[in-house]
Amino acid sequence: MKELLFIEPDKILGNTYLRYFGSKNYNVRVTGSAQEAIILADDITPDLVIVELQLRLHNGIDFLYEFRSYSDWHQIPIIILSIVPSNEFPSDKNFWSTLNIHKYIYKPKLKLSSLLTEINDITLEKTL
Amino acid sequence: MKDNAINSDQFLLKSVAEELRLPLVQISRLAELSRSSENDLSSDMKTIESSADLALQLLESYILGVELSDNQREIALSPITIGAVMNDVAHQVHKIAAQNNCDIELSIKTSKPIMGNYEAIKMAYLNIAHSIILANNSQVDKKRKSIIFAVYGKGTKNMAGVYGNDIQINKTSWEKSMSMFHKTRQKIPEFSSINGSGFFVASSILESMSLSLHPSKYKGNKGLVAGFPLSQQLQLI
Repeated sequence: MKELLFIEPDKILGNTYLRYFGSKNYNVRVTGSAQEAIILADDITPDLVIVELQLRLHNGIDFLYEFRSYSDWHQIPIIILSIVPSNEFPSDKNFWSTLNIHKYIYKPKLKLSSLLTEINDITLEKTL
Repeated sequence: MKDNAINSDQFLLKSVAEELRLPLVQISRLAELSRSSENDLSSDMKTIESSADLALQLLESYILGVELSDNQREIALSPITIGAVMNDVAHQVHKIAAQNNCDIELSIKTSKPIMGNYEAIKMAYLNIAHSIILANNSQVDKKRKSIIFAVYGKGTKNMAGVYGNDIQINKTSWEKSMSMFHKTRQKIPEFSSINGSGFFVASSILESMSLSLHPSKYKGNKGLVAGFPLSQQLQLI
């Protein structure tokens, strides 16, 4: 089974992801902490990371730079699923390519079914 | 001065609107999950109810704050005890506290009456309590949380505060949050999924009654407190 790592600070949404994607044949790990996400990633080597940028005492962008600083994790796809709208992102055009961000989804527009389609595509692509 | 006040109102509105996105996303996604699941949905329905109640509470409090500050609503004062208000607030947050593994403690050290508006004060403290309970509600947080509602006398005032064992708010961080209020998304960095609008809405309600919130400590826990002047006339009764 493919491993999904969600970094989601809200317990209700975290549990929702756990139940929904868990029922779709994924191993789902959810943490609200960037620090624990690094430890978990080291432990399970996720097939995909889905991250909220607004984290407690931590800027999610810092997490992304830290995550990508480990050579083993350069190719792990990342989806940003955030309450932070895109107009608040760094204007630097290299931001997306440097961090190798697969997709950004604005959380209020999220549908679990469309995220599932996205996840299926990414994990399938990774398998091929 | 007027322009600043208008801007401040707009920033508070934006902050409340941003905070309301989370419960609406929770409700929407839980509804989607429920449609695709064959499991027992009763616990999801409870969560949906709580999320909607919290959103409505914040919205109603914001409206009250605006109406009070614009003098659209009169503040009717009557003799009340802050202990009774805090007792009421503690009972009202009981359900949301239980859902977030948070114990409630009441510490009422004085029952001297004051002149105040019961409902407005209750509304302000409900928002503070909700913000403290939800300050860090991620599943990584295994620590049992607690919230203390404290009322004690200090000079010619009754002090009423709400404190948590899981928040680190202090004078510096509070002043920074207030001054950065309109500039940053994450107004209180230690909060995870909420942005602390409840604190600012509570502050606006109390300010309309010439009261101010400030950070303080109680039994080693940090939180926010306001001082309610004792009524000289009520002391004579």
